[in-house]
Amino acid sequence: MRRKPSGLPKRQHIELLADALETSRMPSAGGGFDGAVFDSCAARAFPAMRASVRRLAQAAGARIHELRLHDREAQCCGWGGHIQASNPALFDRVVADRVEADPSPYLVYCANCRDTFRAKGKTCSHIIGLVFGLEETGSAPSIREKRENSLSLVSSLLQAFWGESHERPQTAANPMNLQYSPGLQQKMERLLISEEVVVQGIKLAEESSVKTLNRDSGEYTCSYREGTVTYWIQYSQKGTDHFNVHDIYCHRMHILGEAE
Amino acid sequence: METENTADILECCKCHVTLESRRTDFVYLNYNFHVDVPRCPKCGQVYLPKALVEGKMADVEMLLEEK
Repeated sequence: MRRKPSGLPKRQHIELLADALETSRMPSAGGGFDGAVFDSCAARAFPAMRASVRRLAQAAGARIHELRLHDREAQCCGWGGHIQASNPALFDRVVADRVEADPSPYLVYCANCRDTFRAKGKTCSHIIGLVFGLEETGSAPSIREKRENSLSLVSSLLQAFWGESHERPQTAANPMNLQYSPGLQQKMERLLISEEVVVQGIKLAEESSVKTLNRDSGEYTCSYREGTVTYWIQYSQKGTDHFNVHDIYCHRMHILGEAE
Repeated sequence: METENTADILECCKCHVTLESRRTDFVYLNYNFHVDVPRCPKCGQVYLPKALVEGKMADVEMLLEEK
């Protein structure tokens, strides 16, 4: 992908969108929205971006008001630091606090804020959806759906603006014929574990034989490290290319002197 | 940290030997720990049981992260 030429001022996409739409005919798709702006904690240091969101919302006809803590005092929605995986009880408390800060719907401009609130049943709209009148209903997307959406966006942008084709990695449609134990996929969602982790972990274990066998149960266990997290996958093989995934658990501690 | 001893039923699929309970060192946020866990006596492959990872290790991580 081409890099942005140096010397151009750094601006957020929301600011550019606000400028572009103000100089064109602004749609009034947001006329039905009446709620509070929930500033992303990442926007604390970006006053122009925060102002652009409000300009966009008002230009689109939305009625907005401020939360008690906003702008430079914006609070994390709960997503930051992946508390969800490391301390679920704290995550629930943080999100509940944010959701209950105002009974009206929230206007957000961060996909993580939107998904976090949606997963807890809070009505919220993303500024992009509000401005363009996109229908935003349903629950938060799963990790796999997020990954698929990201890859689709990359493909579309590369094709539309750079004329490049993008060969998408094999992520979809259960590439290893994985069967999960009941409840395991829900656990993976809660711990923010993607299916790619399972696929890569088992693939590497099968190729390298770096795995352990429980002689009593016939179950294999392998580990797979991605970034700072080590995942342990317990599975069994059924036939030549089917795998039953029994359990997965993870930690952030680093094991010293482990065989690679 | 303590762990259950399941080493005698675990086999390293690379070396085809039974795992043995051996001291293993961990580091997290500049703190060092050690615990006896099943390891391959030949290649050093480690097996961490779920109870240890989701129990004591998770407790220690949360404590250090102050989350």
